[in-house]
Parts: sequence; C-alpha cells; structure tokens
Amino acid sequence: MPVCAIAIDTTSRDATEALGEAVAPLLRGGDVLLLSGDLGAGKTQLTKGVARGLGVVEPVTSPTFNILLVHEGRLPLYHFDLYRLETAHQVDDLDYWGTLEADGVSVVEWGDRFPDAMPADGLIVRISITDDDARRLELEPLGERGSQLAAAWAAAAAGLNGISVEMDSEAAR
Amino acid sequence: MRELLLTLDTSTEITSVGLAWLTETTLETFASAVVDAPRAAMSRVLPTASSLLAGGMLSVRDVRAVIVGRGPGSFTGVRIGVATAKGLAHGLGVPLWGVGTLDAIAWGIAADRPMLLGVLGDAMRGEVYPALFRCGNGRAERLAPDEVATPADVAREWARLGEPLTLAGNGLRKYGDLFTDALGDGATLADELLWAPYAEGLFRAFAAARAAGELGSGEPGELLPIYTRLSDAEENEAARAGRASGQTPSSGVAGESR
Amino acid sequence: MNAHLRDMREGDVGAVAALEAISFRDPWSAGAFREELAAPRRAYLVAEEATELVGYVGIMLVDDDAHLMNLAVRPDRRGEGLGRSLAGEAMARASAMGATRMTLEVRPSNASAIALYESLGMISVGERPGYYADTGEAALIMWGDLPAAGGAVRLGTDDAPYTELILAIETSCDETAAAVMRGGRELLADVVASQIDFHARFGGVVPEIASRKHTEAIVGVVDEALALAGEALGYDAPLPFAALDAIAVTHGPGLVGALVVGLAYAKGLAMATGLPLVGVNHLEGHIFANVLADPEVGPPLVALVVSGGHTSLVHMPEWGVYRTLGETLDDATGEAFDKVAKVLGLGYPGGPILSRLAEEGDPAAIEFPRAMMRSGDYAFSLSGLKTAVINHIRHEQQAGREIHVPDLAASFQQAIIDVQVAKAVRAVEETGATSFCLAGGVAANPALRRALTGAMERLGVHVSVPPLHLCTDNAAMIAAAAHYRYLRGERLGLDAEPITSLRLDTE
Repeated sequence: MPVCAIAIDTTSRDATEALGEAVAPLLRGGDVLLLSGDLGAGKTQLTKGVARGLGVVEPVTSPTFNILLVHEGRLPLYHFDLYRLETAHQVDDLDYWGTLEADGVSVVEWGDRFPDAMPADGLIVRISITDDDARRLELEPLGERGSQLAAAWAAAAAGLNGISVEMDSEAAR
Repeated sequence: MRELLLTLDTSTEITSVGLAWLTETTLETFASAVVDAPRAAMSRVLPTASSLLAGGMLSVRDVRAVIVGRGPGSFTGVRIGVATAKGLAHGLGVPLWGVGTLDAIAWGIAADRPMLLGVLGDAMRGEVYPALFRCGNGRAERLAPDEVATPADVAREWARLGEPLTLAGNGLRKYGDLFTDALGDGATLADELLWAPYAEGLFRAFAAARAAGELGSGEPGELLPIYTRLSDAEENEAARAGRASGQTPSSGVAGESR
Repeated sequence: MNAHLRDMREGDVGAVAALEAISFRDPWSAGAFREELAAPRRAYLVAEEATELVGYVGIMLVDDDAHLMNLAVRPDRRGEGLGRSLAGEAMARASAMGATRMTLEVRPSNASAIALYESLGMISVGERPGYYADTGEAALIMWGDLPAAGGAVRLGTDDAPYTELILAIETSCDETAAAVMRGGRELLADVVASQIDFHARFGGVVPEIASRKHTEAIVGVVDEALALAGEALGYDAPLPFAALDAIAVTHGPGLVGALVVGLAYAKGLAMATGLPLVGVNHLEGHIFANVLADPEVGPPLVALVVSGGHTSLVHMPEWGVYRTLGETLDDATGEAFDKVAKVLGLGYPGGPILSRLAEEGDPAAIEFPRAMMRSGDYAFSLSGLKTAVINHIRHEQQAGREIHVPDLAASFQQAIIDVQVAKAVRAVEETGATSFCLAGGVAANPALRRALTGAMERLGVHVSVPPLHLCTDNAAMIAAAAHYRYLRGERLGLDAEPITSLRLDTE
C-alpha cells in the first residue's frame, strides 16, 4: 500500500468546517480523529464540520472544561479535549479507551498530548496556522483504518471550495 | 429460615442480575437475567432487578443482602454496578458484599473436574485483566491477584506453566487466537456463554468468600471497586493508607481481589 | 387548626388504612394505598397533629384532569376546616402538576362533602347510576376548574409552609456532595466530601484521586448529611430514610464518569426505599444558589449561567420552568479568557491574571469584533474574537512591535462585555424579568460583573451576583431546585441515564 503524506490547505474558517463535514459520511463506529494544533488553530471548527456532517443539531462547543461532550448524530460523537489533563492515566477515569472502541466517532482535541496514550489505529490531524484564516491540515495515519480514512477524505475534499489537497506519495511497495 | 440475596454486575458489556435463597447450609440461585447490550447498564440494571423480584412475587424490601461484582472491567461499568449496589444496600439497611468479576466468571465455570482456568477480561487499549484459577470439586481457587497486562505477556507466561488450560472471559473476543496459538493443544476455550459473570457465579464466589471468612465488613460505605490500573501516586497513597491503618486494605487496589 | 399537611409516606399507610376503614363503606386496603404511593402522577397528603394522623387526601392525574380519589378526616376532628384545607392543598398540588380541572364522585346523601366541594368552586354535572355497590346509590359527579393557571406552583407561606424533606445528591464534577432540605427553604444539612475526614470514617482505605472519589465517598457523605439533618431537627439519631419525602440527584450536565455514580446510587436508594426520585439539572442548581443566597430573587428572572465550559442566557418565567434564550456556540467566557492568557504567556488558567491586567489598560485601544452583536438573537460566539486576538498578536510579533498587554487585555475584555451586557439587557427587557442572576461555578470576570450590575440597576431590575463561596458545586442548590420539580410531579424512572445536553429547558 502506498504511504502518502497528505496535506490539505483551507483558505477560510468556512472551508475548514466544510472539510470536517466532508469526512463525516466516511466515518463509522470506532473511528478516532486526533486533532493537534495551537490555540486558535481551528480544532473545534473542524469538529463542528464533522458534527454537521453527522447530523448533529445542537451547538458543538469547546470541551476544554468538561473534557468530554457527547452529541447524537448518525453516530454518537464523542468530543474530547485532553488539554486540561495533567497525566496520561487520567484518561482512564473518562473511560477513554472503552469509548474510543465503542459505537461512535471520537474526535479528540489535543489527542497527541500524551504520546504514551495513543490509540493503535486512527488518524492524527495536525493543524497549523498559515495566515489569518488559512490553515494547513496534515493527515498522519496511525494504522490501516487511519490510512484508509485519510485517502478517502482527501478524495472527498478535493475540489471543494477553498480547499486544496496535496498528496506526496512514495512509490507503492 | 431462608434469606433473599440480590446480586448484580455491570463491569463487562453485559448487565447481570440475580436472586438467591441463602440458608445456613445452602445457597440456591433461583432467578437470573442478563442484558447483553453494551453501555446499557445504567438504563437496564434496576428495571431488570425489579422484573426478577416481581417474577418471584417478591419485593425489594425482602432482600437481606446485596452482592456486587466489583470489577475489574470498564471504569464506567464498574462504577455503575458498585454505586447502584451501594444505593440499594444503604437504602435497605442491609449488608453489601463484593466479589471480583473475574472470580464470578471462574466460579460460574468451576465444576467437579479438576482444571486450570485462565480468565481474561478485556481491559481495552490492547491490554487484558488476567486471572488464573485452580478449579475442581466444584471450587475455584485463585492463584494470583488482579493485574493488567498485555495479552502477549500473559500468553507467554501461561504457556510456560506447561499445563493444559481452559480459557474464558470477554478478552478472548479480541485475543482468543493469540492465546490458542501460544498455548497450542494445551488450550481449550470454555463455551462462550460462560465468559460472563452470571448470577450463579457471583453467588458461588460470595459463598466461598463467606465460608473462608474473607468478606469485608458488609458496610456499604466501605466497599471499593477494583480498577487495577493505578498510577504510581495512587499506589503510594493506598499503601500509605494501608500502613496507617495497620492492615492490608480490602480496597480497589491491584493485588487485592477479594 | 394545629394540624400541618405533608406528603403521605410509607410509614403512614397503616394509620391511613385504619381511618379509611372507619370512614367508608367500601374502604381501600393498606396495599392499595401502598400501590398508589408508588404510582406516577399521584399526590397523597396527610394532615398530622403532633404525631397523629387526623386526615388524608389523594389525587390522581389523567391527562389534564385531577381525580380526587379519597378524602377523610378523623371523626373527632370534623367540622374544623381540615377537610377544606386538605382539598385545597390537593387542588394546589394538582395545579402544580399541570392539571387544569378536578373531578370527583360523592354520595348525594353526603351533604357536608358536597357543600365543601361547592365552596371550593366545584359544581355537580351529573350522576353515575348504581355507582355505590352497597346501596345502589348513584354517584354525584362534580367538576371544578383549578384555581391557578396550569403549572404554577404555590409558594410556601409562613402559615402554610411546605415541609417535605428532600435528600439531594450531587456528583457532576469533582465534588461528592449531599444535602437535606425542608420545604425548599430550610437547609438542614449541606455536606461536601472534601471536608470530611474519610480516613477517620473508613480507617484510611480511600484512594484520593478526584474523579474516583465519588464511588468511595457517596455513602459516607449521605450518612453525614442524614446525621446533621437529624441533629438539626432535634433528634438523637440520624434522620432515617423513611422520614424523607424524596431523593433528588443531579442528572447532568457534567463529567459522565462522575454523574453516573450519583445517579446510579440515587436510583438504587430510590428503589430500596420506595421514595420518589427527582432529577435536577446542574445549571438549574447554580441558579438556585442565587436564590439561596438572596431571598429577593424570584421569577420572572433572567440568568446568565456561566458554568464550567458553558455560558447560556436562561429565562425562568415561574419557579421550575426554564427556557434557554441563547447559549455559547463555541468558547465559553472563562475559556476564552484562559486561552488568550495562555497565548500571551500568562500561564493556564490565566483568565484572572488577564482580568487584572485589563484593569490597567485602555478598552478602546484596539477595535476587536463584537461578535453576534447584531445577530438578533441571544447566541454568543467568542471563537472569532479569540482568533482576532491571536491574529493581532501574530501580526504585531511579525512586525516586530511590542504588545502592550494591559491594553490588549482591556480591549479584548470590553469586546466580550459589550455583547454580553447588550444581550442580557435585551433579554430582561423582552421578558419583563424582575430579577437578573449571574450564576455559575466559574467566578465571572469582575469587570463583567460590574458592567452587568450597573446595566441592570439602571433598568430597575434586582441583580444577584452570589458570593464566590457559593459558586462551587454543592448539593444545597440541587435540593433547592428539586423542591419545585418535586411539587410539579416530575420524576425520574429507574432507567434514567445522565443527560449530556448543556441546555436547560423544561417542556
């Protein structure tokens, strides 16, 4: 399977949100998106898009304080934010591992906060600020499902307004 | 003179509830229900208990003691079971006793035939809760305290025992093949129906602990869940607390399974 | 009349059945009363003098109609107005539970009963032939409109206070708490786990990790609350569960792993004791923290609830009725402060530091967007402002200019305050609220508190900003909120699950 480094550029907040919406139909129970990026990078913005794509009706707000917020959509959306946790073991108390493996989609802001506490499969999305409203989102799969999701997402996103996809593939092995 | 006992366990993906009659010499499980719906413990455990009681023409006020499965299992599941049981026992003014969830599974399987039984609980995150039991003559004797470990490490260790082993527990759903590969012909999988903590097993584990004088005080406030996965800070705290009271805590600490 | 009215309990059933047996030719059994106590949409009350039962009344709701099932007064206490009090209280309860009319059957030969009901505004509308099996008498059917508008809860008064005892449990976040309250006003016990010496109680066994503490602490916390309540009532012993009228519990929002402990325990307790279980929203609890601190606060009120990671504007037109007018679409106020502070290198949570610096700065120095100012609704959005601040900082840094932090802080703060005050004021004007509450577990920014207080006082609206010690999680506020839900007949079943929605709305 070719190893691709996929980067997606968005030119506006709306485009970032639309990008999130584009991955929603591809998601199934047990999928995990780990979002990393500085304050203001757009992690929650992206999650709002995912939620809209899943048919979530109520506002998707920042889970920084509550750590976990749950929304009902086509699938349950488990929206985590590990920012306030101090040690990796604190995720156990949230039933983090059980939830990640359960019936819904988990989107984890600051998901790479504890390198010792990463799921075996899933997709890391590294968001960086390239300009006032522009963002670069780099997709880094953790396993097979992650790779699958990254490729499908890139395909779904290409051609959307304000979004451009860059795929840097090495030769297939 | 017989006393009505109620048991429940929500540590695994099933919700298990049961009723038994206890006399001086016998313990007879006469009603048992299982709800096989993950994450449904909160909504189903008490309605299920109500149904069982109604089915036996009994009232919750007839219950004389509550026995709860303490884990290990999912953190939320263990908490729901233990907290529900505390509410029931505290409200009824009756004793609350706990048994390990893995012990309940073992006691549900143990029969006359001697065998070595390995129970594996799914601990998520690529880990398991392993527990070995020596079974026979209708009893299950635990060989090691609760812990959390990787399935590969456990499989290796159990293969080194050089004995035929029966396997059970929901951890086999993910790691059954890994274990049968590592143990080869030495491993037999128990019937999948026996991989869960049913009422019969919970009550038998309780009876054994009672006979051995190993039950706690019965005070609902003193019963602790078994989480097993602890941080260094917690282990130090628990050890310190144990030293302070001058006795081994019967607590939710790794190493204390009864 | 020295009797006082209270809810019927399991322990009253024997005396009630005995009075029933001497009052009616076709009496209900004790078992029948027990079943009624456990059934939903019922209210059963007794009149008690010293420790003696002197009367009782029971109603059952079917849709919007309340059916008076039975009413009896002890023979030696008839003719003193007890019947009228019981019937009147039953009607008030029925109204609180949402009924708009009441109906009953009475023997045509029972002149005094008919006179009583007529004096309460009820009229005869017909007969049900052969209703009374023993004599073949027809029953007279009476109907009446209930005095208050459907749903309004009668306030307790000094002459006729509510006296129900509610045990409330709160485990939505880090604290395990329990409280006992009488009649929604008298706090008999208020206990939080962090203040109990658990080592003394449990012999030093309990691990101290915050999120796990609930499971370990809950029984001890409840025992402590019952012990204190017993003391407060002048007993020599803790208050027994049998003396309670209801159990209340926070069923959300909050940390799921924490919520489930309180809720699971409360359900087990309710099943074991047969007591009704009332669910309370944690945000509602914070509004009631205001009520407990300030007796002048009352409906119609608007509250800006700033709790943990959420901000919402809530309208409470009557006790126990809530309508969310608007809420945060993204970051809550406290979070926005903390995050901007972090970007400025003030550490996390640096909100309070940022607020202090803002006091020294010029709020007009930088023009930040007033998001949602003209949205025409009550929604709040702060992430755009947060981004604007972050972009501003980045531009200044790229241009090599030094940032004047106090000015930045003041300008950022003012952008938030302008919008929140404008929306809060409009909410008060549009709803006609007479009280405004700033409620919540997160101490609101001092400048925001000042601005809101000033704006509301100019409107002549009573402002309530609770002292900081009442902003932390506790069960007393849950007990206070539960009183109204209890009276309205709202109950949780044994299948209740935690609510995850951050919205506070009643149907």
